[in-house]
Amino acid sequence: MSTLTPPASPELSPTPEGTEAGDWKLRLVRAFGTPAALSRVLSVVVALLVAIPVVAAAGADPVTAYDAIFQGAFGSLRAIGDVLNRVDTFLLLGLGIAIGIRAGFFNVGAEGQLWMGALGATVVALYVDAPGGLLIVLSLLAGMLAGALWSGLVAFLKTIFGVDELIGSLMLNYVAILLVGYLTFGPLKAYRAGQTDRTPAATDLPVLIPGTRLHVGFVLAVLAMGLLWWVLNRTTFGYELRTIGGNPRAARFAGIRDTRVIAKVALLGGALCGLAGANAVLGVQHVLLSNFSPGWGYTAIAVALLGGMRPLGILAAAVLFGALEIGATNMQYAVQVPATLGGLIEGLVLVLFLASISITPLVLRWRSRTSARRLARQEGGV
Amino acid sequence: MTMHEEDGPAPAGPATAPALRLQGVTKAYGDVVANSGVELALYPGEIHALLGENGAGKSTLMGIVFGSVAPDEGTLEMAGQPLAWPSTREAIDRGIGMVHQHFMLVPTLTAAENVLLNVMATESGKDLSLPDVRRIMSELGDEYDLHIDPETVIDELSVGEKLRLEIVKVLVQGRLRGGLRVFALDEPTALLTRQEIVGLFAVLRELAAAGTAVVIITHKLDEVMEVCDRVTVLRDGTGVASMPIAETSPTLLGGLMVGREVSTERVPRPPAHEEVVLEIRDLVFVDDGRRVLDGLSIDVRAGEIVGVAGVAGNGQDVLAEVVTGLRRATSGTIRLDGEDVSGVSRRGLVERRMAHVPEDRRVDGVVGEASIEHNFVLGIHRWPAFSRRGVLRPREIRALGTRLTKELGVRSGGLDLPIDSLSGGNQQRVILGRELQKDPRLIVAVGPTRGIDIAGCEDIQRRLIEQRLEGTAVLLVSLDLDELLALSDRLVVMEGGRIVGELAVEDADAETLGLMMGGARDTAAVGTVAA
Repeated sequence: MSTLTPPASPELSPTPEGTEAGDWKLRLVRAFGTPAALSRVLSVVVALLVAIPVVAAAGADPVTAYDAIFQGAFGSLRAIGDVLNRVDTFLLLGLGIAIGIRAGFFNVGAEGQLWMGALGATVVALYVDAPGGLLIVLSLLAGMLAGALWSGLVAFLKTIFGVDELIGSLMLNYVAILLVGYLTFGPLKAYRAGQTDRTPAATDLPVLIPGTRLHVGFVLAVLAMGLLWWVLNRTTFGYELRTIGGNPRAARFAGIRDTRVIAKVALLGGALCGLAGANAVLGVQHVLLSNFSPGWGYTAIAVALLGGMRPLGILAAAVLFGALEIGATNMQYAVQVPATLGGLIEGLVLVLFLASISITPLVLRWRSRTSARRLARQEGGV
Repeated sequence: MTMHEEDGPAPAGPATAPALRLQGVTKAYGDVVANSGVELALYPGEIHALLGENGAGKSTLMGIVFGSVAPDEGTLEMAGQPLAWPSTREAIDRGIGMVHQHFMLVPTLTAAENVLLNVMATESGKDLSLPDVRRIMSELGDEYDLHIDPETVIDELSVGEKLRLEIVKVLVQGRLRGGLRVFALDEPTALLTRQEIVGLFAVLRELAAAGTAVVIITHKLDEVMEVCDRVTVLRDGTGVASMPIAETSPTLLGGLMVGREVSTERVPRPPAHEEVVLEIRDLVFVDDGRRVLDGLSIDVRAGEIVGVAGVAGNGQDVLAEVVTGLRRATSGTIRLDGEDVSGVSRRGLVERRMAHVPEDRRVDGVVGEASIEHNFVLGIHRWPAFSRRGVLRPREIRALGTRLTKELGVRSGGLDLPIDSLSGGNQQRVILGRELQKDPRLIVAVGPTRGIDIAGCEDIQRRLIEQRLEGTAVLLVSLDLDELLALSDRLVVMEGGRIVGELAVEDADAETLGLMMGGARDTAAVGTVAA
């Protein structure tokens, strides 16, 4: 969302006493495009630094631990494949969340949509009788449809009953998670409680690179990213949703039917999140567990925010978070530091980033103001 | 020390020192001078009117008195003592009370909590507790007949009750420090019924009798005549007169208030066409029980600019919103080119070539953070020229942006920059340029030159006149009499949701309009022409 992007120009006004003092700032900001882009990168770096004492406190050598994270994420083809599978999840979820935020429809329902997508895909994969290739497509579509309906329900509650989308989507998350819990312990229970039968092998998403678990779903996610960029920037629908997100009153004045656009945004966002769920089941887990997701739908809100609500930015943030999580899991085996360190760093990145949104412009402005004051003194002011 | 009165004759008021005296007050916001060398003297025991048009600088002046605005120059005296400019807290401690035009109430708190909030930071109110507040509120309620349940949450109060609470806030403030010296009310009657106004005036008279200097900011002439003892008229940020009410008349005040020579250099215009483009009949809009539009009828012909004049808050803004499809009328019809469009959506109206230049362009006209280019096609983005089957045509949009930027003389650093980077005048050029792309049958323009520099102003007026000459119908709603007189062929005056007068622009001058707007219908024979 553009509110997260402080305008670049005012901060860039040259300092009155010449460019010497401001030069490093200008060069830094230019290199990253905007102060906001700079904040993002800096917050990642600072988060990694801040986590060092924590790692040390956990009794590990930080250098070894960070190296283990890096190796765990990128040290082998198999690890890279796992990272990309997680990127698939975060990218789809992040895109689904971002399109809502761009339209001013801020909901936290990605988690519920993810679970519903997983459920929809699992049910179709398990109980529909169709030839293999077709069944994969049907299962994926079922996942998207389930996610879309879940998200559409939020929009429906908002427009018809005025239920705030934040509350509505949050509550529906619990409903979705508990529904899967009920089904996996009840009607869909397999030989073990808390999970379904394994989905038929014919519905396993094809592996892209032998020796890894990287599946076709990643390609779908990247395609979805391109498609979403096109929708946002090149269609009247994208134009209208950006207008609503930017100024809902001006959108109404322009004759944009906001409730319809928001409904479509909700359906599209839900479908993307649902696809993430379907991919996770059919591509990686091959079974629906009662503890299917550890909260990826919430982590992905951070991914969307850090990615600046833009497709490529979200991809970058998804890679960062995917690598952190997979790398941290592998680190746990290597240096006995709990894998939750990954989550800690994620959290730090987000907090620092959110703080930096307000701090970066202040820092940049502070420099120009002090120099302005110095100038005033030199000219013989008070 | 000399105690000269400003320019008017000596006051009928007491020979004591003024409760509050301002001299040479100047305040500029950037290039806009809100007050320039203003003098104001308020005497104990009087009700003083501060009269002036919208934008004359009344509210700024009162902000200075109350300490919420810091003046650039000027001096302040209270009871003969020169004082530094106060903060609002100091102003309250000095016995200055203020009821702002927009209520200063916290909607989620109760009445008593709001009253406490007003004084809890001041010297006299710092030890006050909620039970104290309730007790004082009930005492004051009996005394002035101003009862408000202290436990009611603000959201549940009506507009009249909120005003009553604002007054109670100030009365409590006065009670705590043993008397109010100055009580200022900014447009207090705008939202009240006649009965509520009568009640308000009774309270003000009681306060004045107790020695408070009461000042009412207003532009309603009949209220000034009814309740005030003296009047100071502001025009364009300068005090133009200060005199006892007994020595004045609504006609005189109307002239002083509006003042400026009406520009006579009008381009001769061909008469309007016969064809009625916009036909409004018996339009009623009820909001919260109030008849904001009260059976109003207007015709606008092709090639005609009809100006809607009136003091702010008499329903003009709602009229514009109903005509442009943003609100549904309670009853009545609106016809566009003969077709009843009362139920047609905003989008349908755009398709029927209605253009709209909204009043608050930052809020309604543009998406501030979006690019200039984005804003150039807002509302026309679905037209085949700019999109096909839902897919935008970036090249055509860019071409339009480039062409219009040049045609309109918009100075910008590039079409990709946010429109917020443009000045108000340039933003308005973008909006008007975009709206004219609709090849409109009807343009509804609300205050199109409000807050715009002179060059931009002339530019926008010229374009509207060009449209009129080409046969477009224009409904112009404005608070700016100069703009109305410069642009309109015909003027209608709105008051209380009704048309109270209609006249051809040749018969209109600022004084007549000022009188009609002030609602002084029976004071003079106004040139009312039958509809």
